[in-house]
Amino acid sequence: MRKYIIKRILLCFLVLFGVSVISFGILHLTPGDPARLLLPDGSSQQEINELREKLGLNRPVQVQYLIYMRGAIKGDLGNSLYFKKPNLDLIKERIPATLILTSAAVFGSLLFSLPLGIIAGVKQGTFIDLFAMLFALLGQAMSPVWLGILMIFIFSVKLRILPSFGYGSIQALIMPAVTLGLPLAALVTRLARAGTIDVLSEDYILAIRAKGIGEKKIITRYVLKNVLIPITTVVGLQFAVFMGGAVVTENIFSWPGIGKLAISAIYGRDFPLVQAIMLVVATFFVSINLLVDIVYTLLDPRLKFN
Amino acid sequence: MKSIKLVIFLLTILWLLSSCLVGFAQEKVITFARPEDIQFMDPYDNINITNLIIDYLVYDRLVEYNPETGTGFVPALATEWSVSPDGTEYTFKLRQGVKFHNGEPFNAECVKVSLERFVNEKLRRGSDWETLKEVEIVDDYTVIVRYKQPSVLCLTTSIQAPMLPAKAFKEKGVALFDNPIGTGAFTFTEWKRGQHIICEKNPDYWGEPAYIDKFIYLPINEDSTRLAAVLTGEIDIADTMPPDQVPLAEAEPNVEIFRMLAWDQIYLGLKVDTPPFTDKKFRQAVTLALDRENIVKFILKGGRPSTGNIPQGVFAFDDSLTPVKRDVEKAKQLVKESIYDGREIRIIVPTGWYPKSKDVAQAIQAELMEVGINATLEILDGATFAEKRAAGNYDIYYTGASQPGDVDSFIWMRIHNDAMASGYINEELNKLIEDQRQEVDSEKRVEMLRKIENIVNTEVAPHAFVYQMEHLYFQRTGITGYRYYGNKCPDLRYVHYGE
Amino acid sequence: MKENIKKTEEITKLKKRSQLVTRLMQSKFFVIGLIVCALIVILSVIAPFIVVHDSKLPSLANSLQPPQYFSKGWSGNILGADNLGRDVLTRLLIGSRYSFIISVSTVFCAIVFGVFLGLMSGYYGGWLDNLIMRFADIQLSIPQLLLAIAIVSVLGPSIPNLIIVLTITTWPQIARLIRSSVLVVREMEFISASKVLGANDLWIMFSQILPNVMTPLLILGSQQIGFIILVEAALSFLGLGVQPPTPSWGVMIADGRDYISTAPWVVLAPGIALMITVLAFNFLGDGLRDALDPKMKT
Repeated sequence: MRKYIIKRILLCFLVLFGVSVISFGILHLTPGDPARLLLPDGSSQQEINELREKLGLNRPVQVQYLIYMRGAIKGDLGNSLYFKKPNLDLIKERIPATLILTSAAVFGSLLFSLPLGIIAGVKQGTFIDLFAMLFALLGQAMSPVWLGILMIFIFSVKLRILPSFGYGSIQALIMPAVTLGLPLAALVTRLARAGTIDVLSEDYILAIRAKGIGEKKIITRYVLKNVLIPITTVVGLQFAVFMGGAVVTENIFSWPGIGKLAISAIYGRDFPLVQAIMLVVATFFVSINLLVDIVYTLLDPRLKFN
Repeated sequence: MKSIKLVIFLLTILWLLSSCLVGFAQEKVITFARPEDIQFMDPYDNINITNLIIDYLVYDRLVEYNPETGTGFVPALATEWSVSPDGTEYTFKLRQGVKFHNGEPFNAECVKVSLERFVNEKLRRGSDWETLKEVEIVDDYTVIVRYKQPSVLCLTTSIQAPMLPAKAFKEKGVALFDNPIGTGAFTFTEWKRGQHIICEKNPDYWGEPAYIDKFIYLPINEDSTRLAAVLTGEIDIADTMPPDQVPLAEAEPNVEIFRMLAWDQIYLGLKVDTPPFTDKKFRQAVTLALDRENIVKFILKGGRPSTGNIPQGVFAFDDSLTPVKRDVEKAKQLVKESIYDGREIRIIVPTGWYPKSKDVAQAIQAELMEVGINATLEILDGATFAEKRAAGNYDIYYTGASQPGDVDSFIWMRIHNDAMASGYINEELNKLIEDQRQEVDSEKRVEMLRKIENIVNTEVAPHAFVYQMEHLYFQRTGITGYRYYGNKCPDLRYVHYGE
Repeated sequence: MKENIKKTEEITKLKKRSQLVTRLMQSKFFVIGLIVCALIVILSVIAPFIVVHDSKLPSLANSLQPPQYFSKGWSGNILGADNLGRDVLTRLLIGSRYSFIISVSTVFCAIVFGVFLGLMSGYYGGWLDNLIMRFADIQLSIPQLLLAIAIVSVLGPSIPNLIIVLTITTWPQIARLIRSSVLVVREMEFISASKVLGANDLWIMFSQILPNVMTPLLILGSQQIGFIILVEAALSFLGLGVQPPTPSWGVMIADGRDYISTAPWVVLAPGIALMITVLAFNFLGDGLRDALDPKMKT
């Protein structure tokens, strides 16, 4: 196992390298000159060229890349063209907010939908089952935009029990977390329910029941373990995706996370900042995926990775 | 059961406490929200006009806009000023006894250090001060601002060039702007990017003191959230509100709506050097096809159809002009008579830069199609749009322009001599544009500016103006003391809840 | 003798097929899902022929007309008009073609890629697994927005290009999901049994493993259809797909957002249509899974 983890960590660097190359390539391929966007609309081409020169944008792409990577390896993720500040500082400022929101959304969804789905699967055809399916349907079809705006109107404007924006209090976290986590909750509910139905219809469950083992134990030992494997995958994926910036939710609730930063960096073709954000996000992805793979082996010791 | 009750009780207390904590402060606070976040506080190196809001609070300028009329100037850090007859020298007498927030005194040295940044550094506001030569210190409280050529813009541009503390700037350089120090009515207290900026009342202010103790700026990008926040009272003023939400604000008794005509206009840029735009008839057809009235009425629900490149409220505005009236039949006729061969006419449109740009663009496309012009839309993200426009890769481009109160920068950067690769080079126009920059006599300058506007209107080149935007503020009833200008940046030094 | 065996084999095959069909027809879910999906498809196909109004032409004076239902018969704005005065029902019908094509194609392509790579990855493990999964990691790290802008500016804004972008950003999720399920199934006895009997890898993957990982696949797949429509909205908003004035449900939802409180019909119509479509696909997927579930085979 340890060998596997070490190998994976080494591969992380390969992934980061791949991300850096591809992102650099894409950025420079896309039309859009950051220098032009940094200057007032209508500036002369000469002024733009001067700025390009100053920012080092006229050097060949490969050279720019190597210079950037040389710094990145040492931990210096460059400076934002727009903010003129170190990218790492900018990212560090905003990552905690995204982390808090993501964690709240993911764990909130799990806490709610895992039991819901399993119970629905056990008590197929009952009211709980119907409720779970309806919940799953709404969660999938509802645009987070509506949900967020609707919730603000109901809970902030009409009922006045939750703030419409802000950061720092638990109340301010509730609505964004629900908005972000609802689609995930819907998915987990369905997976849990279907997985439960699957497992309970297996032949070996009959045998175990015959042995006299209680329903509760069956659920926690067999159902849960089996259901958690696809759910862990999905949760891991979503956690990683959210860390990349839950842009829509952050926008609606003015949540000071990294999503907005990433979007405006892309719009502004702020190359170093986009690079830095992608490297940080990639690091999250590989770490989370590694964690998820380790969790698999804990859930089912039979799983090996060769 | 008992323990659960206890837990619920404690949680409720915690809940109430945390929501009460805000209300505990007995101080007077005004909270203001706008879509954009403020990214940096260097007023000289910033093209994002939102900064002005904080700049007004924390800094002072040599002169101010006349708060009664909105244009014209009154003394601030300069008590009097005069211009040399040839327009190259502006002499300012400075106010005495003014201190910066860090105790440093304000004097001629500060003016020199501040303005000469434009000479020494490459700054984004640099084009405003291109022709600045130097600032001469006559004595501690007198300076001469000297230009290489006659300039008419010194006072206008000085509004966005507030006075910086010389000593502090020499020590810290641009790091000073992480914690700006000015002479203003408020001190810059706290800045959490993406969250808020807090300014507190400066008790030692040289001028009239502010009414409130604290001002909080909040970037809230989402329109519905800003609306909700002002409806609940979480914020006091919501800036840049969309007209569609007016009914909701009207329904709430504690909220008022303040409308003003901004100095921004939306216009179409035509590729004049490419057929069929080389034919004046075709260009005229384009401007005649536009249904400005209905666009303003139904899509924007506010604003006014444009009459030319000088917006209402800006120096030299000609109120005798009327907008081009839509004439479908005449436009159709002109299209037929022109050299237009029926090819696809591409309109490039940037997303996210202007409100309702997609809708207006679709309306315009339909209007052009109606007169026989085969128009298609290309909606692009801002950066791609800017590239294509600069490369001349368009037939028509859709864009807008904010004004700082004087059209000079607009006509210089966007009309003069093949600006934006429009291919439009009109020698007479170019000369007029160059001349007006240096025309010290106000009346003569007005004449020149109107002549320029006239040429652009009759030639329909390089722009066809569409509409002038309206700007909406939703605020809690009782708010007073605000000064809103057409550049969409309010002066909120004296805002408070009044009678 | 041989003939008899062959005949028995054929009969068994036919029996199995008809059993499958019977099971499908027995599943209420499947039937409902099938009917609704078929309805949607038929409507979108005949849409251009049955609509009364123009889906693209603005009519400013008619802006935000509330639904007139049948007060003016078929020629009024039955479901109201949007902010440019265009008939909502017309745009809904015409838009269904684009939304449908985009989301179904995307999910289909993503499933094809994702299932194939996920199977390979999970089954073989080792360096192949690492290679594919690390590639998926790289893919997930690249913001969808950036990719969309890049591809569209280089290749042009068109529906196929939009499908490409969406597929590229969707396949990693499917691949990872399949892989995790494969990891579990591959350890099961009947797989080792097949191996011992000398079955070839591809056959094992597709006919033995795949049916057992259908459940999460169908759930994720049907969920993605609704999700992709919303993503398409976000991208079309930036001009990265369906160019205005062409309608699509996603665009209608995105554009109508400003009018939620003052003219809710603009958003409700595509929103409800989306909900019904998602429901139909869910049912279809659930029913399919029920029918194909090998555990139910006797």
